[in-house]
Amino acid sequence: MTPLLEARDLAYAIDGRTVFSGVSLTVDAGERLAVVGPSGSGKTSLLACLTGLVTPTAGEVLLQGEPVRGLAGPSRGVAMVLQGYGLVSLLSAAENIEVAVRAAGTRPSDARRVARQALAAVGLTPHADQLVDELSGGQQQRTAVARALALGPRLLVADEPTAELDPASRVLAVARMLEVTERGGALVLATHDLDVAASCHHVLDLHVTAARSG
Amino acid sequence: MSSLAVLCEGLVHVYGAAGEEVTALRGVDFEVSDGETVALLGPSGAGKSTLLWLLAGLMRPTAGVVEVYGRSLATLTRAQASSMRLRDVGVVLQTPARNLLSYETAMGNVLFAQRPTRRPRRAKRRRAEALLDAVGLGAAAHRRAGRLSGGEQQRLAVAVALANGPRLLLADEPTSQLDRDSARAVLELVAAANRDLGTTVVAVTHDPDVGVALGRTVTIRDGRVGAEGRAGEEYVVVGRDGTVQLPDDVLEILPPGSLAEARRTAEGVELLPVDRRYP
Amino acid sequence: MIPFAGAFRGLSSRAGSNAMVLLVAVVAVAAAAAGPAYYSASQRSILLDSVARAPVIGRGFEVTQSGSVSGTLQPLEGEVEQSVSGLGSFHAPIEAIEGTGYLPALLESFPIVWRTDVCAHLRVEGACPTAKGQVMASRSLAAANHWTVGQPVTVPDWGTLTVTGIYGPPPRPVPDYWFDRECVYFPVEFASECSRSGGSPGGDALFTPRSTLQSAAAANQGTIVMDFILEQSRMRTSDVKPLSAEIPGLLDNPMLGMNQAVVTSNIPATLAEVDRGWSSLEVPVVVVSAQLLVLAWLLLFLLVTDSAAARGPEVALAKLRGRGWWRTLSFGLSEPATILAAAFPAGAAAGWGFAVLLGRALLRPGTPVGLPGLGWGAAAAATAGGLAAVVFASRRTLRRPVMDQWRRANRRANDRTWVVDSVLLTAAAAGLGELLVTGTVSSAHTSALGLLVPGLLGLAVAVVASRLLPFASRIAAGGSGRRGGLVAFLSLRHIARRPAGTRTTIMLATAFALATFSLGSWEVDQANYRTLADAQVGAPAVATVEVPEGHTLAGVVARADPSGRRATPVQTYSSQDTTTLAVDPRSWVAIATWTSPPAGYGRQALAAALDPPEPPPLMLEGDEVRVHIDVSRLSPARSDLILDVDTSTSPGSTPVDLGVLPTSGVLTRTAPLAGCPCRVQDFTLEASPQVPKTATLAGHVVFTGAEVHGPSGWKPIDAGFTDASRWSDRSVGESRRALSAGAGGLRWTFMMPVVDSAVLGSVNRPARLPAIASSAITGKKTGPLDAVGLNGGTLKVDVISAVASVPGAPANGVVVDGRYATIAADNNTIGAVQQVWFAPGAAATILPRLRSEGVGIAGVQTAGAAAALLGRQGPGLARVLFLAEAAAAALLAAGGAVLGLYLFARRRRYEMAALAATGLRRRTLLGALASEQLVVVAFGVLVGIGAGLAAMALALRHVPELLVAPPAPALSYSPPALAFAGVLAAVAVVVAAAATAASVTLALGVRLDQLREPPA
Repeated sequence: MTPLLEARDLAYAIDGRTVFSGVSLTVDAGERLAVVGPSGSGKTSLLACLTGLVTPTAGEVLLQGEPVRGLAGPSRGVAMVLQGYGLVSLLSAAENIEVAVRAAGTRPSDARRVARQALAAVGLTPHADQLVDELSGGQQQRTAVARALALGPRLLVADEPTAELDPASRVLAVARMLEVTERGGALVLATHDLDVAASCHHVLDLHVTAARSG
Repeated sequence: MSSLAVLCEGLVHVYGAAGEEVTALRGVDFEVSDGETVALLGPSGAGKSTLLWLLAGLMRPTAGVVEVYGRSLATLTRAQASSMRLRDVGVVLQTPARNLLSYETAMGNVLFAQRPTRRPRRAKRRRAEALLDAVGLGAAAHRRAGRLSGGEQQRLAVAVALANGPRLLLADEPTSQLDRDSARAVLELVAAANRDLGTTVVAVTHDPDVGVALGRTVTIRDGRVGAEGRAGEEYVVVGRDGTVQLPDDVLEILPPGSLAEARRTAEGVELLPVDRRYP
Repeated sequence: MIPFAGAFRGLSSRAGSNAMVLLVAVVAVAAAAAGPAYYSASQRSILLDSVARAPVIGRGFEVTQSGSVSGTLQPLEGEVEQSVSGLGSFHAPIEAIEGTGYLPALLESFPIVWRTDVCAHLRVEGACPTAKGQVMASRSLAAANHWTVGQPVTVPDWGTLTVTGIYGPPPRPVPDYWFDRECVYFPVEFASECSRSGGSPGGDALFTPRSTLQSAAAANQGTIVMDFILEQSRMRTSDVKPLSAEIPGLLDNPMLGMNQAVVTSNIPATLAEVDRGWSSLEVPVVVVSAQLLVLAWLLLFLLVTDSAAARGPEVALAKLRGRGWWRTLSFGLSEPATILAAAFPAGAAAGWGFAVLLGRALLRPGTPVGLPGLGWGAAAAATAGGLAAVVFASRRTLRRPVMDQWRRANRRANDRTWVVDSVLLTAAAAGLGELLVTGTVSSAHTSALGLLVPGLLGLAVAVVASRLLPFASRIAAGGSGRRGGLVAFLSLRHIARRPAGTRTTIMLATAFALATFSLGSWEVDQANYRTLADAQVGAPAVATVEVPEGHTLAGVVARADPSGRRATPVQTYSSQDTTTLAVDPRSWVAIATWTSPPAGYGRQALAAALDPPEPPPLMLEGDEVRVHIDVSRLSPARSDLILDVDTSTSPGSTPVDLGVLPTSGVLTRTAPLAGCPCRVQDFTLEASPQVPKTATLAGHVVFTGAEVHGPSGWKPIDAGFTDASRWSDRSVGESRRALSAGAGGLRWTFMMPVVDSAVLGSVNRPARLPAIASSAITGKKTGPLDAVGLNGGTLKVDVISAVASVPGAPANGVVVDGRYATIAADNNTIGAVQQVWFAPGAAATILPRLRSEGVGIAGVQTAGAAAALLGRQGPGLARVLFLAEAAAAALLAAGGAVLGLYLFARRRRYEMAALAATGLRRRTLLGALASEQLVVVAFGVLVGIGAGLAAMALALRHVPELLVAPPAPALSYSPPALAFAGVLAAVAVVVAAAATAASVTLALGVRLDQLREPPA
């Protein structure tokens, strides 16, 4: 069976500096991969390569056996949670999710319902109509997670999705993300949180990789 | 009394937006001795940061007593609070970049925080250099703070907070945005400051590692001190109204809202859920 | 302590918004500095313009004293120089001593004059008199007395004077040197201009050196004259006040009065005109500069509010670090204060440079533009105001508690701005109401305040509109939730919720209201000035010329322009009430600039109607004329028959005496002719002077034939004695007369009081010349009118068409055919002004041809230059300043809006990239961003333009464009539609394009790899 996500010998360099090199990984459906490593070791860059936000300088990424060239977005079943969340600050939490799902093809009349369901799942119903500008950091992060989940992705790539969350919210968010794998998708997480890493099938330590190849 | 860095008695703080009042602290009793290191733990929204800001003199408490080194903060004027922050209290914020002027050099940031004195500029610079060396940023003195990595920035933030040799260092989640190695480095700095300079440290965190590093932990839940930990052991704290906050693992047995019987035993108190009472 | 390097790093880290703040601050300071600079230069320009335009008596003063001509001038000189010292700069006085001489043989008296340097100002044949007893005489006096150079002349009381030279008269127009005394010195040469008051004119002056007069007998009385003329090139604005104060005193000076010295001057009137010009400019300059300054301060306030808020975290950090109140304040204000300090000198220089540019374009050429002390003061005040705006804007950030900085900003609190808005709205409405209610008062003060209307109206409309846009967007956004695409979804919500939204709209709308109004008013002005200038000058270019002897104006013009389509001859004569223009109808109607159409006639028809065919004049060519007359009866006896002819050599009619007629009989009379070919004007029969006044002149005379003697002997001429249409009785007064013609000749019967003359005129022109006249004098009616002829006498005309404005003499012009007018004036056109009117572009080629024919060009006036001169009066200058400053305001607001939009969008780059990463198509993103920018900008611009148009409709006619509005032609108050609309449309398009281009650049620049790093 073709793995959901496969990367072979990935390398990425920017401004002449090698961020990482010789990285290979495989994630099958239903699996979770945690990417750990100190800051500056390239976790965000690796995730960016996996989703096609940037082009790796060497190696290739295969999604369901098909190479990733350019953005692999909702059209290919991939959703992202970015480190900076990337929410539109002048839209409400619900509107942010509406835009995303509508862009992915949901009918406008259904979009609102989908958005509210997604927000309820992460416990943000009372804040659904507040503008993102007015939400706390943790609430924004949960909105970003809800947005990614609302797209019903097969592959969820999340960059530090729980950094600002208190333990209760973290539990909720992680549970929702785990549902992706329970439905047959895959989850790739970059995280500092060792508890979260421990709950994943694979752990890729970029620090070690760098030392090994460096 | 002068050996108490921090004293809180019945501290209550309410944030009031009209019609939307939020009670952040509901009567906190809390003490820190001079030279101690304390971690404030607890879920977000529990009031830890509120306590920290009150200690920094950034807000006036709604009710109760809060004293820093014997000085009541409830009656401080803004100028006096400002002066206190200049001389006695250093603050490290959670987001590394927020602690610094990003366009200024590392050296410039330390100089910015320094107290204006009659000492010649060169002496100030030397002191700043010493501080930077102490946090391991001696070589980066002339790099722009905005260009440093997250861990370097937070180390610089500690140096800045210590610029005027304060007696009390307050830190709000100083390592939550850092990776493991950087976090460890920052914690070591803080510990060193406590060790070498005798600085009292109160740090808000939800990282249990920080609690371990600092020794004493105080858990704030729902606006009150619920538990304390020393040397790895967790203890619940009985509040002034007799309430007790049960730790998480115990909550599985006695979830909120359940009825329980409190029975005296030889060693202490026993709590038995009503529906699981043993015959 | 932040050392300099740190401050610089801070400034450059937010270079974009700091640059904008600097720009706005510079504009504010420049606006303040430019006003005084422009005003003081304009003062000088207006002063020099008025002085240049004034007649010589308005630019100088004259002191005259009667007394003995042999007296010295010194006492008078001394007193006058004392009074004049320190007063502006006058040329050295021109002095004259005027005595009188008398030649009994001629019953003529004439002045004997010494005038400073007179020989330099006259063309002298022979030599200038230098020694005592030498004189020079005028052409006319010499001709009348048959004097030649070297001739000794005996004048009673003066002894024997030697004529050393003969001078020709000074040119017309008479130069300043003569100080309006040409009628005293040249009554004969200037007879047609000077003889208005009647009485015998006397002869032209004899000029002589001072020594002649000083050695005259003490009994010889005369006039001592001192003429002072202002030196224009050295006049300063600061001269006006002392002159205004001192000249009236000089006019009434008791010392001079005691010595019977009289001072005359019209300087006070000139200075009054200068003052009017200045005061018409003063208020507008203040109003206009103040508006731009306030607008710039407002923009500065808004920008600094933004940048102060952006520095909020830094200020909070400073407070967190325990910096005291003062250190925090100086830290928080350090950046904008530095910018302001830099803006002060830069703005003062920019304001001065701006005034220089305006001066070069508008003011009298050569007017220097400096930066007066008041300009520096205004610049300093503007900087201080800017500092106040900065402090006010930063106040919130500086005073905000540290905690608020870290908690989410509560956006709902911003809704307190509605308080500010209602205050603005109320103030604007109140100001507007007051202006419009009192606006019909026509004092310069109040009507110049009409310049405030567009700003206030724009502000009021803007405040209301700025609330409507988000409101409307919110409503539309609600609708787009279910329907509509993502583009509308995103853009409508952003428009409704933009944090700086209302400010952008207010700034844009107010600035564009100002710009629209000022553009419209400027275009209206330009059009009106052009119309006025066209009407006053009459043609694209008009040259005043002097035709050499022996040539006619029509002749030289025909030779220089054979086509007759590029230049046309015009002679004009002005009386108090009317100005007559004698033209060549066909070419003049084509070349003149018509600002209003003549009633009832097309151009071709008009030309034909002005020149009806008439019998040709009766011309005599020869040296003798013989007339055959049959007198049936004639009384009284010894009545004299005179044939009046026009010769080409002397002006006016020349009488040819045919002798005294018998009371009856058939006779032939012969008389010599001089200066012919000549044109017959009339036969005049005058009673002998010895006849009592109560007698009656009556008779019946038949003219049977006439002959002329030429080189080949006597030849009969066709005198028209058989055609009654060629002769008409032109006797003046009530009389019975009859005229008929047949095979036997021309039969003339008449009876009238003897004091009248019987005149039998040759019909060579219409009895009343057809004419076009200004409706101001005819009141739109046609019919008979008495105008002034080219010889100063009455010219009877018949108005066939009334025009609102006659080219060349808008309010009082009467246009007649030139040939007929010359005949009607008995060929005596020496007093008329000769002009050549040119079609566009013709002057350059035809003037040289005229010059080569010996024609003297006294001056050329173009409609363009006249329009420019009108624009240089106070009101015109104020309007241009308004336009320039409003354009600057519009540019600033538009630039600020576009930049603000760009920066706001730039901060959203990360989220835009994230949207792209969630699958939003780039096209959608681009569309959302572009439509958001476009709507916000277009809305503000359109609202502003609309408000400006409304302001124009309300206030334009109340703001004066000229110091004195002429009665004709009528001025219009709507701008030339195409040009106006074109400019506005172009500007709107440019602004919209800029906004769109900015957003396109941004949207295209969104790259997914920007998502690698979270936003700073």
